[in-house]
Amino acid sequence: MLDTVFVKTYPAPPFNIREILRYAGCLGSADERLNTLLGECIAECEEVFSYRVCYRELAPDENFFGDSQTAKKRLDGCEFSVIFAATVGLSIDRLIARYAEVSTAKALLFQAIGAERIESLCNAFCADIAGEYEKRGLYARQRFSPGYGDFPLEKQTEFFRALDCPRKIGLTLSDSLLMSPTKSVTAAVGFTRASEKPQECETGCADCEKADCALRIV
Amino acid sequence: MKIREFLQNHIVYLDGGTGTLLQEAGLPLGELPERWNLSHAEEIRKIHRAYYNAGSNVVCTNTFGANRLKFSASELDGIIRAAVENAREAGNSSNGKQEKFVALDIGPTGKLLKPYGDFDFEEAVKVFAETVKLGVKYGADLVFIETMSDSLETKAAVLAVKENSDLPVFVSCAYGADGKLMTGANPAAMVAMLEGLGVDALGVNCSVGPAQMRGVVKELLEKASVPVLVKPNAGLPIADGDTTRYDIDENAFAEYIAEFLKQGARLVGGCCGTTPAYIAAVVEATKGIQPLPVTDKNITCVSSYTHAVEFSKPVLIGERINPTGKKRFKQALIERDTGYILGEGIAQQEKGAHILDVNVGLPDIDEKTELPRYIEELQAVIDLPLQIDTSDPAAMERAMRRYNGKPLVNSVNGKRESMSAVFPLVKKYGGVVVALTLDEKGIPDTADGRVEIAKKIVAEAEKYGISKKDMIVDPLAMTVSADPNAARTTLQALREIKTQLGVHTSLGVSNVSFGLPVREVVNAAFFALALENGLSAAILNPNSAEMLKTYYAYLALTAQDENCAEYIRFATETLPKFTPATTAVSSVSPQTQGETPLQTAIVKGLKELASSACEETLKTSSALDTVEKEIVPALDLVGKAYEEKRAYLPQLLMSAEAAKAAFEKIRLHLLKTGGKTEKKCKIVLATVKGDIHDIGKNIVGTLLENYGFEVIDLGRDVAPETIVEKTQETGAPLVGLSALMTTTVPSMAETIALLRARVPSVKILVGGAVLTEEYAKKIGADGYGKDGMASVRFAESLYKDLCKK
Repeated sequence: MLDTVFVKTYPAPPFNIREILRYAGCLGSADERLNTLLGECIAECEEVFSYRVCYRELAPDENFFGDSQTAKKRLDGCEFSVIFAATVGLSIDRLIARYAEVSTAKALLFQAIGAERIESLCNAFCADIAGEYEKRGLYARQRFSPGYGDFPLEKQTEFFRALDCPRKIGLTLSDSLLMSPTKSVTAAVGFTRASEKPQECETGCADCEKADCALRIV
Repeated sequence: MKIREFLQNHIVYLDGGTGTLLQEAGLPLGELPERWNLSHAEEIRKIHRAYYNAGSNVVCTNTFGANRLKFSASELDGIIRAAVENAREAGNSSNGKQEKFVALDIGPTGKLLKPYGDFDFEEAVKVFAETVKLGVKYGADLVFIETMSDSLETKAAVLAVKENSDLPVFVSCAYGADGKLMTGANPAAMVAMLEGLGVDALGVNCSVGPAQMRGVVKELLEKASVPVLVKPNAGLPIADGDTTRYDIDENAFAEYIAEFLKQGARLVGGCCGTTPAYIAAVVEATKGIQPLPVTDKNITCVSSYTHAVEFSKPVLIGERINPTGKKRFKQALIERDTGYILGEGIAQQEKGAHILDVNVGLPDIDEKTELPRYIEELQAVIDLPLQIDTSDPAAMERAMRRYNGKPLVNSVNGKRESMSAVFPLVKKYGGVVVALTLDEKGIPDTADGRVEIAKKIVAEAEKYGISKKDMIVDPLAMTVSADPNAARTTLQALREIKTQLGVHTSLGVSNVSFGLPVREVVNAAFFALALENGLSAAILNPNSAEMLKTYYAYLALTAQDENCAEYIRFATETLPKFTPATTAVSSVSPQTQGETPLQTAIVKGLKELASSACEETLKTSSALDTVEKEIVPALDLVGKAYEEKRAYLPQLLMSAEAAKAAFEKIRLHLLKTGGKTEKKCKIVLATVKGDIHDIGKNIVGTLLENYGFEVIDLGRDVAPETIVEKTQETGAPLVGLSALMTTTVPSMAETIALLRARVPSVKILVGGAVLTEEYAKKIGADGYGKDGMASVRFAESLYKDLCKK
C-alpha cells in the first residue's frame, strides 16, 4: 500500500448543459434567452478552471472511516479504497462573487456551472482510476463523501490531514468545515475483486435525509 | 560572514526536500513533523548534516508548519528552539567547508484568507509573528518563507518578519504548471509586491519539476531586481511497485540547475524528492559557474493579486470611484450601497481601465474603516491594481496594509508634512506613489516652478530609500477657461519632468475643461497633447468613448500597438459597448393585451430595454405610478409564473435584474427631481457565521429589493453579535438568515437565540439548502423560505404589521 499523495490535472471535461440547468433550478426546458445567457456564461468562464485532484490509497485496516454505516455499505467487500480531493479552482468563486454584484441571474448560472464542473471532474477522475485498477482486476464502487448519509462532515479534517490538500491542490478547509475554493469535493471510492456491481443508488440520493429536495432522484 | 554579504557575490546553495527524508526516516503520515525536532532530534540533525555535507550553504529548520494554529505557545517555543539548535549543531558537526547558515523555515498556514476563506489577515500576521519572534530568540540567521500559494498570505508572512526582526528574508512561492499561484498571481505580480515589501531574495519552489519551472524562472529573472532563488521538485512522483520514486535523477536535476544559474538565478536547491545526493550533484555540476550580477530592472509597476501593470506604455486609471461631483455615488456611499460602488468598478474594467482609483472621502464617512473595507470588497471581485486615493494618512496606511499586491498611492506633495507622512508608508508596504507638484506655497504658475517641486520630492523620497522608479509625478492639469496658458504650462512641465528627472508622469486629464461646454472634446485633445509630451498615466473616465478613441489611436500612431491589434480590438469589441441597446422600445411587442413596453421588458428579462423603457415612462408618469402600475404588476406576473412552475429561477432572476435596471432609472430621476423612494421596510440579511455560501441570500436580497424592501445585506460569515448590533442600529423589524451546511446551522440557531434575547420584537426568516420547515421551527425561526419567492411572500405577509409608523 502506497502512502504517497499523487496529484493529477485534467483537461476540461465536456460541459453537460442539462446538469447545469438542473443545478440552476431549471427542471424543464430552457427558453432561448436563458440558453443565450448560459452560452455567454460558459464562454466567459471556460478558461478560468483548473482541474486538479490529489489522491492516495488507504488500507482497509486503517480506522479512517469510523463506524459509519454509509461507509461500511459502500466499502463492503473492498480490498482497499482511494480517497481523493478535487477542485476546479478559486476563479469561479471570484466570478460568482463578481456577478452577484451586477447580475444575480449570471451569478446563479456560474454557480451551477461550477457545480457541474466539479461533478464532471470527479466523474473523470473516477473513470480514470477505475480504468487503471481494472487492469489489476479491481473494480470501483460508488464514491461517497463526508456529509453523505451518516458519514459525518467532520471527516473532512481527516481527509485534509491525509491528503495535504492545501499544498497539493490549493484546497483549504475553514473552521466550520467548508472547503475553499467552494467548487471542490472530497470523496472515497472502494475497490473490490467482485466484478458484479451491487444494487446501488447511482446518485446517492437514497442515502440523503432531505426528502423534500427539489433535485432528489430516487 | 552574514548571509546578505555572502549573497552579494556568491552562488548560494540551499537544501533539498527535507519532508521526503522525514518520511523515509519513518515519520508516520498524519503526525506533525515539527514534533520530531524534540522527539527525534538525532534523525533531524542527521538529515540537516547530510545537506551541509553535500554542500548546502543554507539549511532550513524543520519548522514548515510550526505555528500557533497547530501548537500551543509553550510547545511552539520548544519546537523552534530545538529546530534551530538541530540545524546549528548539524552545521557545526558537518565536514563541509563552505559558509553555513540556518534559516527559520516558514510555510503556509493551510488556511485561506478572507474574503474567500475564513482566516483574517491580521490574525495571519499575528500567527507568523509568533514564529518569527521565536526564530529571532533562538538565533536563526535568516527567515525562509516557502511554498506559499497565496499572495495575501505571503504578504502577511513578510510583514510579520519585517515587524519583528531585522533578519534577511527569502520568499519562495509554489507556482503551478500554469505559471500561477493557486490564488492567481503570476511571477511579475509577486515580484512587484515582494520587492515593494523589501525582501532580500525571491523565487519559486515545489509544485513541479525543473523543466516545467522554466517559464516562471525566466519571468522572475526578467522582472526581479533582487536575487532569484529556485528550488524545484525532483520531477513527478511515480508509483514503482510498493515504493515511490521521482522521475528526474540527480544528474539530470543538476543540469537543469546549472542552466538556471547561467540565466542568472543566484540561490539554488531542491524541494520534494531531492535528497542530499541531488544537492551534492548540483554543487559538483555547477562548480565553475560564476554568479551573474543582480541588476536593477528599473521597472515602474503596480500589481493586483493576479498581475502587474507596468508604466512602460501609457496607462489608463479609472476615476469613477470618487464621490466628487457625483450625487448618485455620494448617496451610495452614505447608504453603504457596496453593490453600486463595485458595479462602478466592474463597468470601468469592462471598458478597458488598467487601474482603478478608489476615493471614498466624504465628511460623513470614516475613511479609516471605510477605505480599507472598500479596497477589500473591490479586490474580491476585480483583479485590477487599485490606486489608494486619500488625504488621510491613517486611512492610507490601513488600506495599503490590507491591499493584496503593490498599490498605486495617491498622493504625496511637496509639503513637508505630506512627505513625512506618506514616504514611510511607501517604504514599509511598497507602492508607487503619485507626487503632486504643489507645496506650502501652492501650485506654481510656471513649468519651472513645478519641475523644482518635483525635484525636491524625488530627492526627499530617496532619503527614505524610495527610488525614482516608484514615483509618478503629476504636474497638475489646470482649467484652461480660467487661464489661457494653463494647458501649455502643464504640458511643458510634463515634458521637462519626464526628460530632466526621468520619472513617469500622470495627470487628472479632465480638469482642463472645467466650465466649458462639451468637455469631452477639449479633454480628448488635451489628452493627445499630454501623451505626446510624455504622459505615462491618465486619470480619466473610461466611460468616455472620446478619451478611449484618442488613447488607442495614439498608441497605434506612435508604434506602441503592434499590428494595431489593440486598436482593432477596441474598435470592434469595446466601442460597441458604449452604444446602448440596439433594440428600440417600440420593437418589442407586448406579450399580452394592455402590457406596456416596460412591463414586457421586465417579463422578458431584458435589462437595457427595461432601463430605456423606464426612462421613457418617466416622461409621462410619476415615479410612484411607474413603480406601482408598471413594475410591480410585471414582477407579479413573473413571480406567479415561477410559483406555478411555468418559469424557473434563472428567468425569475433575469426579470428581477430588468426590474432593478428600471429602479435605477427611478432613483436617478428622484435624485434629479428631489423626490424620495418609498420603501416598505428594512430587512437585515446575512449568511451566518462560519458559512461562506451566499448565492441563496443574494437571490433573496435581489427579489426583496424588487418588491420595495430596503435590504441591509451584511454579507457572509457574519457573527451573531454583528447581526444583533445591525438589527438594533437600523431598527429593522425583520431579519433573514441563510445557512448552507449542517455544520453552520448551529450558528444559525445561536444567532436566533441571541436575537430573541436582545431584540425580542424582531421576526426571523431562515433559509438554506439543508433546512426544512420543521427544523426552522425547531431552532425558533418565525418563517422558512423554501425559495426566494417564498421569502418575498413571507416578508409581504408581515410588513404591514411590522412597519406601522
